[in-house]
Order: sequence, then C-alpha cells, then structure tokens
Amino acid sequence: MISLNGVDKTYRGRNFEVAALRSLSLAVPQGQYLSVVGKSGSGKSSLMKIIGLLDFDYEGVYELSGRSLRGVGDQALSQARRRIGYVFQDFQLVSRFTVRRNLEIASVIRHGSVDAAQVAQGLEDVGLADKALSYPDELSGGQKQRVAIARAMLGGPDLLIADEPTGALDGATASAILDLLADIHQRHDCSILVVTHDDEVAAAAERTVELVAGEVVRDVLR
Amino acid sequence: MTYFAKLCIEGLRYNKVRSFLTGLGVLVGVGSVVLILALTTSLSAHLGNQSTDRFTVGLSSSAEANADVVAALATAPMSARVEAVRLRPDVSAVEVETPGRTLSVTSPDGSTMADLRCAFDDNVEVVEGRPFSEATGNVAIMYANPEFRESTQVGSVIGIDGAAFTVIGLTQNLGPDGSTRLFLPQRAAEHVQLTEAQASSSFTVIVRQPEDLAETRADVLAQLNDGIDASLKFVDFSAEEGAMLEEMFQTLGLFLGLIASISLAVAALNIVNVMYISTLERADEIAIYRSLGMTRNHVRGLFLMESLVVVTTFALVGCVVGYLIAAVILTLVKVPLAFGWTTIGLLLLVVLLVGAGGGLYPANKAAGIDPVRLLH
Repeated sequence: MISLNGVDKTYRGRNFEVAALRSLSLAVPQGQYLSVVGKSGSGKSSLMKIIGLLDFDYEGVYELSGRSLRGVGDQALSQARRRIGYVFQDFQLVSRFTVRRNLEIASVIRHGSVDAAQVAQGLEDVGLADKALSYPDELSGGQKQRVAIARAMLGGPDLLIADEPTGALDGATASAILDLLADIHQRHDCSILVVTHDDEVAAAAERTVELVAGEVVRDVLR
Repeated sequence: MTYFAKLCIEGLRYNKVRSFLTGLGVLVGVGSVVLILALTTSLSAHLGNQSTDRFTVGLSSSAEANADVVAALATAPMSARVEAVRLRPDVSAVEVETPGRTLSVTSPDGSTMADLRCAFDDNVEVVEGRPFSEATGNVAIMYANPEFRESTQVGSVIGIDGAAFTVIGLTQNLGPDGSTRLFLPQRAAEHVQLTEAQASSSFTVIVRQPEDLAETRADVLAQLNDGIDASLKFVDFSAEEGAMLEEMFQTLGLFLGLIASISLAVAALNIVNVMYISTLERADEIAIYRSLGMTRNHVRGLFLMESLVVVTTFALVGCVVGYLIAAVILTLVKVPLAFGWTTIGLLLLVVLLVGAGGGLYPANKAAGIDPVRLLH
C-alpha cells in the first residue's frame, strides 16, 4: 500500500541545510499497523508528511496504493486525501460545532452528503453515541481524541495516520486510545501509521520502524 | 449543496456581531444610493407631469433684434396672435400674464420683502376684519392667501415705502386682473407710489388632449413664428424650464449618488478586511477541511458564498429601507414615488459584483491554507 524508495528530504534555509530523510526506503502492506518511532529531529514527522500527502518537496519515489501523487492537481490530491484519515496530537476538532456536526462535515466532504447512519455508527464505535450533541470544549482529552478518530475513520479510509495520538493524554487515557486503535486494526482493513516518540506507544503496533537522523535503524515486525 | 450552504451560514455565525456590522455598512451604502435615486427620479418625473396639459410660450430675441419690434410685440395686446392660438380646436384655453402695478412690501417682522400687485379700491369686500370705510390712517386689506396665512393676518403691520400699514382685513378678491394681492384706500394714492410691473410677452397654452401636447406645441410654435421678424422667435419656456430643472435634478442626483457610492465603496473594502480576518482566524478550521479532502475550489467557494450572502441580504434590506424612507419623504412633500426598477436591478448587480470581488482575495487566501499547519 505504501511504498517509499530512496526518499531524501532536505530542509534548506538561508544559512543552513538539514537532511531530514536520507535515501529512506520503506514498504507497508495493506492493513498493517505500523509505528514510526524516533527522537525529536529523527525525521519521523517529515516521513509522516510525505506519506500523508502533505509534503511533496522531496527526492525519490513515494507511491500510495501503487500511484505517485506528486504533481497531480488539487482535485486528484483532495480525492486521495479522502481515503486518508488524520488524527492529530491536539485533536483538531472544530470547537463551534457539536461532535455530530464535526463528523457530518467529514461525511459531506468525503461523500457529498451527510450519511447519518454512518455518523451514528462512527460515534457508537468509539463509545461516544451519547455525546453527539456535546461541544468539544465539554469533552475530556480522551473523548476528544475518540471523536477525532471517529472522524478520521468515517467512510472507511485506506490509511489512518496518527501524529502523536496520545501526546496530550494521561497514561490511562492513552492506553484507552491505543486499545481503540488496536480494535480498529482488528475490525477494519485499513493501514494504520502511528508516529510517536514514545516507545510504549510504538510497541502497541504490530510493526515498529525506528528512525535516527533520517535513516531506518530498526524495523521490528511482531 | 444544501450542506455547503449550511456551512456558509455557520461561517457567518462564527462572529455574528462582525457579520452584522459588515452587512450594516452595505445596507447604509445601498440604502443611501436607493434613497437618492428614488428622490431625484420621483421629483424629476413629478416636474415632467406638472405640465402634461400645458406649456408656456414666450418671445426670445437676439441682441441685434429691432428694439421697436420687440417693444411693439411686447406691449401690444398680442391679441391677434394670442386669439389665433386661443381659437385652435386643440387648445382649451390661453392664460396671459398681464402687466400691473406693484408695491415693495416688508413683512411684519421685517425679515422679508415682496413685490405685490396692488390696487387702490375703497370698496374692496372683506371676508375677515373690517373694510376701509370703518378705518382711518395707514391701513391695508390683503388677499387671504392660504400659503401665507401666518404672515398676513388681521392686525399684522407691514412696511410700505418706510411707512407702517396695519392690515385691517382679508379679502378673496384678486382685483380686475386676477392677481392683486394688496388693496389700499384711495387716499393712500397721494403718498404711495406704485411701480409699473414689467410687461410680459409670455402666455400659457392649455391643450384639450394632454396626449397631443407635443404635437400641439409644435403646431402652435410654428403658427406663432410664421411671418415673424427673423431676429425673433417664440419658444417653449416651460420645456426649457422643465429641462433645466430636470437637468438640475439629474446633476444633483448624480453628485449625491456619487457621494453615496463612496459609502458603498467603503463597505466593499470593509468586506475584504473582515473576510480576510475571518480567514486568518479560521485557518485551522480550513486546514481541517482540507485534510478531510475538501478541494481548494470548495474552500474558495465557501468563503465567496459567505461574502455574497452578507452582501445580498443586507443590500436587499438596504433597498427596502431606502425605498421606504423615500416614500415617507415624498409623501410628506406630496410628490408621487416614481420607482426605477431597472436602476435598482442594476445597482443590485453592481453590489453583487462588489461583494464577489471583495470576497475573492480572502477566499483565495483561504483556499491556499495547507493542512500541514495542523501538525506539530
């Protein structure tokens, strides 16, 4: 599903040049739960941006489901993004909309109209059906992240990318989120990519890739 | 599309006060322009309708015209020419302004002066107050003109040639010439000098069929100018006056409309500013939409729609408000409202273009927001 071949990513400034990724090659089959771990500056965020179609300034080849999306128009890019679910460290819910409305927007963008049944099922799957009319500010951190996961999973994406999904959560809540991701991995045929600096979070995945200075130094399949 | 519209409304509700104030600027701008257009159009139309059944003809002469000829035409009864016009089958009546005698009269408080046609008549009948036979000294009787009721009451003191005259009565009598406004007792003729009014060579023609006004006017002028000295010409004064007034109102309307348009332009700039601020404030929200797969065009369309909704809604309200205010004002001055729907339609089109244009820059900015900003 994900195929990176000799990818180089360099950040250039007026007086500096930093190689974030160095000839990185990585293949992720469909349905795999992969964690990418590394310290700050290891290149994991750069890798996530490239995989998540958020950055196209790199050298090498990246193919998603056998297709390179570099240079495509916004229409094709947006269409590809509808098949990717993003979960962010600070949840990124629209605070002036209810929980249900946050999911409805995702449904409209992805399918052209609101699929009320799908929205209801999505909230049910993350255990927040009773919070449909609540606003994000009325939820705990764990609940917000659940809503974010429900939104990302709406419509059954091919790839779920989670950027430090437990970074803003306490231990117990973080475990609950990891359990939810594991449950999603069991029930859905989507690939999951979790980017984290936390080894314990990384260990929850079935495969862990460790980056140091932009290179893969460890690749463990459990 | 429905949900898209819902998102648009939600966007406007993001900051209700700001959206309202932005729209209020559009309302004031559009309302001002509509008000001015309605007033000037209605006044101009009213003037045009005033003389649908009549026109005023007068003599125009060049500088080289023979003064004797002018004088002969001006002072002679003009009966032959006037009578010929009066006898036309398409003419109902001819009103001739006759020369008379006037006095310079000062109002009771001394603030205004007027030249009034005057006559010496001991026997003028009064409808209020007392006749000259029951008074002595400097006394006067005035025509009970409803328009000047406040300033011409029994007991008022007016000034004539520096002397004070007391109004002892009011009359409905307009004298033999039909235009006398002031009567003095015969004894006053010894010390009050009347001024000879300028002879007039103009007269008003009233047509039988108002729909034939233009044709009749052309025929009458041709008839009057037939055989006249080459340096002289009978012209339609009312048309010139009407055209002059119409031009004056149009120029005034244009000028005031220009000023009102400035407020509209300011409102447009405000839309650009406010929508741009909204884009900056909602950058994360837009990035979320983009991460979910919303295209740039959809984002652009969303923000453009927000701008157009505000502009259209408040522009329509502004039209109604401007129209209502114009209706009230025109009702007070007893002028019928002449409503130019075409002009209003064009104005709304301009406003929509302004709204779209004003919202385009912030919409493009919004469309350029990248979801990568959501990542740490």
